[in-house]
This record gives sequence, structure tokens and C-alpha cells, in this order.
Amino acid sequence: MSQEQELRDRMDTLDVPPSRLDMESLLRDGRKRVTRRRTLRTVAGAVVAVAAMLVVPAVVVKQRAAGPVPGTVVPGRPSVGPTHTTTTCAIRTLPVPAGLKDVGVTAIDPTGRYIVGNGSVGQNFRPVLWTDGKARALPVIAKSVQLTGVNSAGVVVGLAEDGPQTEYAFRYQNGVYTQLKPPAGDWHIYPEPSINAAGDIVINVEPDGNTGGKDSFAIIWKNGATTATKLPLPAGANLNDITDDGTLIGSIYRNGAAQAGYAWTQPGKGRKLTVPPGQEAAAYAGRGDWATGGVWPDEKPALWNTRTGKVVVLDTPKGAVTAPALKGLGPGEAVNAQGWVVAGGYVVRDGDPVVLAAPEGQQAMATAIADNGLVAGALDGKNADGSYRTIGPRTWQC
Amino acid sequence: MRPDHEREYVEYVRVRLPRLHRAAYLLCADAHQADDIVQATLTSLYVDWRRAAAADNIDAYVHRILVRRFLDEKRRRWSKVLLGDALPDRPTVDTHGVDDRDTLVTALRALPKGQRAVIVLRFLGDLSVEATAEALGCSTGNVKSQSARGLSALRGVLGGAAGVAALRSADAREVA
Repeated sequence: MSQEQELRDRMDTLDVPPSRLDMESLLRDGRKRVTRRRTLRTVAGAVVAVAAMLVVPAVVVKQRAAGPVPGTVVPGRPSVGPTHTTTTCAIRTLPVPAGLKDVGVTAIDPTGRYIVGNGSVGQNFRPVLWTDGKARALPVIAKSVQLTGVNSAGVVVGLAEDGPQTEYAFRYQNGVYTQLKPPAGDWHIYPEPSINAAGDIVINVEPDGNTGGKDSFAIIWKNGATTATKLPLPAGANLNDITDDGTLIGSIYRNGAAQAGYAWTQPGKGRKLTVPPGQEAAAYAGRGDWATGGVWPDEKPALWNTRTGKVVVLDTPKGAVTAPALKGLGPGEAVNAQGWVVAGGYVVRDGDPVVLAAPEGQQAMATAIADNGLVAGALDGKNADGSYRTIGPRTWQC
Repeated sequence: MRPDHEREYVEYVRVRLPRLHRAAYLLCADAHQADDIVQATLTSLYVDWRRAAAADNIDAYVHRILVRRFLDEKRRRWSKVLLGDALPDRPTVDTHGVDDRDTLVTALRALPKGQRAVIVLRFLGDLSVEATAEALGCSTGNVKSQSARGLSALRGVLGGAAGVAALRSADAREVA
């Protein structure tokens, strides 16, 4: 049998989890959408696009940016002013615990002392915590244990899964895992828990069986709590982060798609983060008075000041290679106190370029950044046959 | 929608739903996200049913929406799930036949999103190179090279010697 035919057959026959979609709800959603579109047309007198279709990141292939550029290293200083100073960040290997493969980094605490990441076994995660650069494989208490965040006290959060419908969030502190319970009822949580310095943890829940964020809301586990509190946010609000002063960073979603990013206080008072004309936006992460996320359809990272709501859309660094059909780096995934943003594997800021050093023929892929300019991520290389592999986790000191 | 059109839609969706769900699951490897993607796709399809029903190849049309939904990060923040958008690890899957679902789904998930989309559109959706290129908004050359790379990366979880020989000829053909 040819390999192509085998692939066809295997794709046709492999077990997939059951779908919870039914004809009735699909029809209901379709009818509702048509009604909504008619209403909007009447009001605006214009055709409203059914779907903001994105151009495709046909391949997320990046080539190495033009080698390390000699320049002044300015740790932790936001770049302002007319002179262009490239910050070059020196690379360092993060050790990998024995017996773990495919280890990647997911988050760093704001001080840069703690880094979390995951290895994988089949489809399951294996948790790794680095403290002062020393790696430790954490206990595996479920089929899959995935670390997603860590605060400056070294308190770790993540998701554990023991099979379908058995995913839960946890806190890991002083060597002990604590399961974080969602509100009573059947919910699934998404996308992943986020923790601030105070130990408060946020995530979103959606009724089991719903899709697209329908009837979802944001919850918080206050420091030390194991039962969740529903946050009094507007309909359609989903959170992605909580900053150290308790500000909630997220977006308002309509029909499953983000319209604009917001910074909310916990009592639910919100500031809309400015959306550039002709765009829609989502906020993904916050630090201090900064929030980052993305704008569509431009597919670029955005940096907001959460006090003023003012936005800066960040340009793609010179020499950076984005996917062939992608206009920008994609959304910002992390931001530090200086307003340096991680997007599409690069560190970008409003001003001078930042270059992560990488050996010839290899590519730095940043995923997280601390306030002291320590960047965590991975080094990627290209195989002789044109495929790609991750060489391993790395840090860069900027 | 007029009742007769709605009936056509229902008939189409009833037949295609399992296959669309399969395609969505192979793209994202997450049951919830797969439902989200299919739901968004079929809502769009409902709204545009008359135009879609008149399309030359309605399955290609629907797969195109499906894949774009998958690639549209704005919808929910699924992009960070697992290996996400970063250049992927290539898992060294050294056995096959032990757990087909796990190995193939895992191997697919380790491909870059765009490459995975090419593989699913071409080999599950049965779209031509041209239709795949149109769906993804890229060149046919890009589809061919991505398809060859994807197959190459999946080599570890597919067939034996015969498969590899076939792959070599496929590689030569696709890259040419």
C-alpha cells in the first residue's frame, strides 16, 4: 500500500472522540446568525461580513534573522528616542530532566527565577519546573500534567487530564498539587489557568456540550482557595490573564470571535483597549500597566497601556520571516514590565529591535519574558530533509 | 432560509457532519475545539447556503471554511494549546500499530498548523492540489512542497519499506 493511501485509510478509520453537535442546535445557531445579519444590515445599511476569514499561515517557517547584530545590551530599559540601539541577547541552554523528551517552555515568572514547561509522552504532558536554571521533573499525578504559569513565589498552575471529560486545573505549591474546582455543574475550562503574584488564578468555563464560548464566563480562585468565584463581567467576556494588582486582561467575544480587548477590575469595571480602525482585537496577556494581544485582519501584535487604553501595533522586526501568507507576527503572547512583547517567536517592542542570538542555521523561538529581560523559549533547527525539529529549551538574557 | 433550502442544508449536514468532525479533530486534536470549528463552519454554511449549494464542489467549499476557522486564532485562544504555532518538535515515534490513533494524531499535531491543514485537506478532504492552494490562499507549489514535507514527517508512523519506497517517488513527484 502506498504511504499516501495508508494515510488516507488511517485518517478515515482512526477513532475520534464523539461530537456533541446536533442538527437542532446547528439550525438554531444558523437561524440566529441570519437574523442578526439582517438586523445589522438594516442598521448599518451595509453588508456585514459573515466571517472575518484570515489568510493562512501556510507554513510557520521562520528563517533565522540576520545573525546576531553587535549592539549595546540595555537590560530592562524600554527603548525610547530617535537613536536605534539593537539589543542582542545572549543564549544559554536550559537543562532537561533525565528521561524527558520534547521539552518546551510555557511561562516565566516576572523575576526570571522560575520557568515552567512540559515534555511529552505520546499526547500527554510531563511537567518541568526550572528554579534558578536548575530543572526538576514534577510528579505526574494524572495521565497528562501540563504547566501553564508560575508566579514570583514559585507557585505553579496548570491543567491535568485523566481521560475525556476529566480535565481540571491545579495549583502546585511547596511540593503539593491542589485540584481547583470549577463551579458546581458540568463545565469545561479553557484555555489555561493564569496566576498573579498574590496567588489569584483565573480561567473561563463553558457549559459542557456548548461550543464557541456560548454561555461561558470567567472565574477566579483567590489565593489558597479551591472553590471558584464567578467574576461579574459583561456577557461574552473571557479572560486570559490577571496582573499583580488584580487587573483582569481579556476580551469580549461575539459568536466565538473576539471583538476587543479589555482590562477589568474585579468588581467588573472595564476599560476597552483601543481597537485600530478597521481591525478587531483580542488581549492575551498583561504585566504592570501593559497588555498585549493581537489585531485582525492585520495579524500583528498589539501593545496597550491599560490605564489609558492607548494602542501601538508592533511592526515585524527587520529580517524576521513570517509564514508566507501571514501579514504580521500574529498576536502578542507575553509582555514584561517594560512593554517588551513576545509574538511569533520573536521579542518585539515599540522602538529598537531585540535580537535573540542563535547559532548559524538555527532559529530562536521565544515564548516568555521576565522583567529583567530574561527570555525563555526554544532553539529550532532544520533537518537535512527540510523538516524541522526543536533542539531544546533555551534562555536569552537581554 | 426558505424551508426547501433548509431541508437541503439539513440533508447535506446530516451526511457530512461525521466527516467534518473527523477533519476538525485531525486538525486540532481537541474534542472541544473540533466541535467549535465545525459549529462555526456550519453556521457560516447555513448563512451562505444558497451560494454554497451552487458551488462546483460544495465539499471543497466547506473544507475551506473549516480550515480557515481552524487557522483563525482570534476565535478562541486555542493556538497556545499543546505544541501550538511554534516550530514543532518532530516526535520520534518509533513504533506503529500499537496505538494507531495516538501515534498518527500525535504526529499530525507535531506538524506546523499550515502543513497539517494541507495534509488534512488533501488526504482526508480529497481536495486537489489546486483546490487546496485556493483554500489556503497559497501557491500550488507551496501545497506540493508542504504536502511532501508533511508526508516526510509522518514517515515514522506510516507503513514499512513499501511505504517508504512509495514516499520517495511521491517526494520526487511532489517536489518537482
